[in-house]
Amino acid sequence: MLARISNRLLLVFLVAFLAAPTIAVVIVSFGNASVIQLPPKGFSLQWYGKVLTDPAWLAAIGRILMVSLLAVILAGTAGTMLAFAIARGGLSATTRKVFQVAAIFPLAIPPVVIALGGYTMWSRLGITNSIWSLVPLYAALGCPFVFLSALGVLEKVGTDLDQASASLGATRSYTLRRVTLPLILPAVLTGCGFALLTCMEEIVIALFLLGGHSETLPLKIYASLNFGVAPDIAAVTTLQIGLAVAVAIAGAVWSWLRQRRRQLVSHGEIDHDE
Amino acid sequence: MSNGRGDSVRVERITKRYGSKTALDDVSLDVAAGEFISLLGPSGSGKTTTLMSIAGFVLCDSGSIVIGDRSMDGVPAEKRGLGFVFQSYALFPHLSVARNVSYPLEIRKLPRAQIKDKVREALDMVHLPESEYGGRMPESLSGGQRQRVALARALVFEPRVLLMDEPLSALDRRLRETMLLEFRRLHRELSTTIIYVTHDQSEAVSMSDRIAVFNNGTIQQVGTPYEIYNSPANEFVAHFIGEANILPTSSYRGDGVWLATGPGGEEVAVPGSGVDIVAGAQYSLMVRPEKLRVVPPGQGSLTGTIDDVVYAGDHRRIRVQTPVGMMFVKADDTAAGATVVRGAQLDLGWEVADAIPVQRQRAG
Repeated sequence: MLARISNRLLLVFLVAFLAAPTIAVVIVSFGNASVIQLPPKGFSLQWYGKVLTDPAWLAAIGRILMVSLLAVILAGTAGTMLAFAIARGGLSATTRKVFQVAAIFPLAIPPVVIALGGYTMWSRLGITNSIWSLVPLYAALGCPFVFLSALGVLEKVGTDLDQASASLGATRSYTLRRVTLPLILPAVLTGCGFALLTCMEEIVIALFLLGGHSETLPLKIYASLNFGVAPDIAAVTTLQIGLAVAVAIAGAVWSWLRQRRRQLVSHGEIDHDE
Repeated sequence: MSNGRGDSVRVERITKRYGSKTALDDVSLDVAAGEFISLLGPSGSGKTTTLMSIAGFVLCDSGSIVIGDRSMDGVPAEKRGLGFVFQSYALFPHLSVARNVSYPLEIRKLPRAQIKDKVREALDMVHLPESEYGGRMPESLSGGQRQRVALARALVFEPRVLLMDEPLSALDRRLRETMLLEFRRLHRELSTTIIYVTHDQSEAVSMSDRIAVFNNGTIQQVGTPYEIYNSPANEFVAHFIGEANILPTSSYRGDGVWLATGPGGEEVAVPGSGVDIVAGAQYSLMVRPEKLRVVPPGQGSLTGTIDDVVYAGDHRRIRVQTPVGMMFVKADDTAAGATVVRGAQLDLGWEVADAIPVQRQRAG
């Protein structure tokens, strides 16, 4: 009994320890003072108002969203294709290994290496201070998330379904559209979610490539710190946290809906012809 | 070429290598229209590769496949129109039972009403009424039910040839027997040609019109279950189907007498059939355990010492050490009044016709 209580306490402590900084930031963002106050003297949404009406903050948010979404589309496509190549490409074991390591490489190396490499590459091409130059690098950063989750499902599913589909008369593209892609879609989207969050928080590469000319959101947060820690940073950060939570909730709701639909279908409550 | 709803299948001299390993070595097989043939052999013997070649999932290095009167050269799997049932069932997990079964019909762009009818008929055929099971997802079904759905899906577009790859090996024994009866019934009703891959000899023996026994990438023998059991072509076939006592011999003396050779080189004259033997070939005699009889002392062809006795209800299995090697005997309880205990002497006898000469296996 005592052991159970102490285990519970330990768990609560750990969760609190992990969440404390986040909670502090969220609380501060709703404060009404012009400086960081914990606990705040009163409640207000003034910092959100300030952020959401400030063209500079809005532009930074717009930039990071645009860059990240483009990068995620690229990462999703490339990661899925890489997973297919490795799971279904009929490659030799050695080639597979090499590609597999290459595909998750961006996760393994420090961001500063990618940043330096990217900076060198782009300056050779004469492209500097362009927000678009971030997109391919962010795509590379996000690619492993999609690749790993898609590969997991493809390997689990195996080739029997492809063969079954072919034996029933389906061409490869029909099988891809009707069987394989629907099966790996949840995994691909999960990977894309992680990729999106990673891109939206990325600062090292942006710092190297943009050097403060046009700012992504993380860059602007970083730059604002030079002028002191103001509650508007807390508000922006809380918005970011909100996005992460939203992505997680969307994922959970979606998988719950799918599960529920399956149960309904299996009880015959939804016309299975549709 | 075709009879009722089945097509003939001709496998002509196919060879398949994977790197340095030869999976199929010049395999030929004629399957008659409407026939139920089993490809039987241990794993890696080439039976599944043969099936995959017929299906179009494996492309052979040489040789050809002819289905009906159509050569399958360059015809991809999806254009061959063959039904295929997988060991893993291979149901689409994201589609309901009805959608799984309607899948081949949707590809063929049949009208909706016709699809509905055919799906219902196919599910009825495997005893999974559409009203009850149509909306279920594969994950909510038992193994046997999944295999029934897979069967319905493979048959719903009325293929003229059905290929089955160890469809029962993931099921428990009782269910296997039920499904075996189902397969036989469906074969009778549909008269589709069925090519059935299994490593289980009892499945092959109980269901097939004919059996092709595979080993090391070649076909060892093709014949009815009776032929395979009673006149195996060689030692491998004799061992693989049923149990067999194999007595290596040195020569045929004529008149139903062979010289059997023991492990130490000693020779013993034993009865054995001399039918169909070819001069120059090396033979062993094969005697099925149930053909061996325990006879009164002095009257047997072979005398040995009992090594072990296992009681098995309706019979006893006796292991006897003889001068020409260990012999297995399946004896009923009368056993000629002999003392059947470990260490006792036992005389064994058999009919000339029950000791069948089989070609000796070449080493390696």
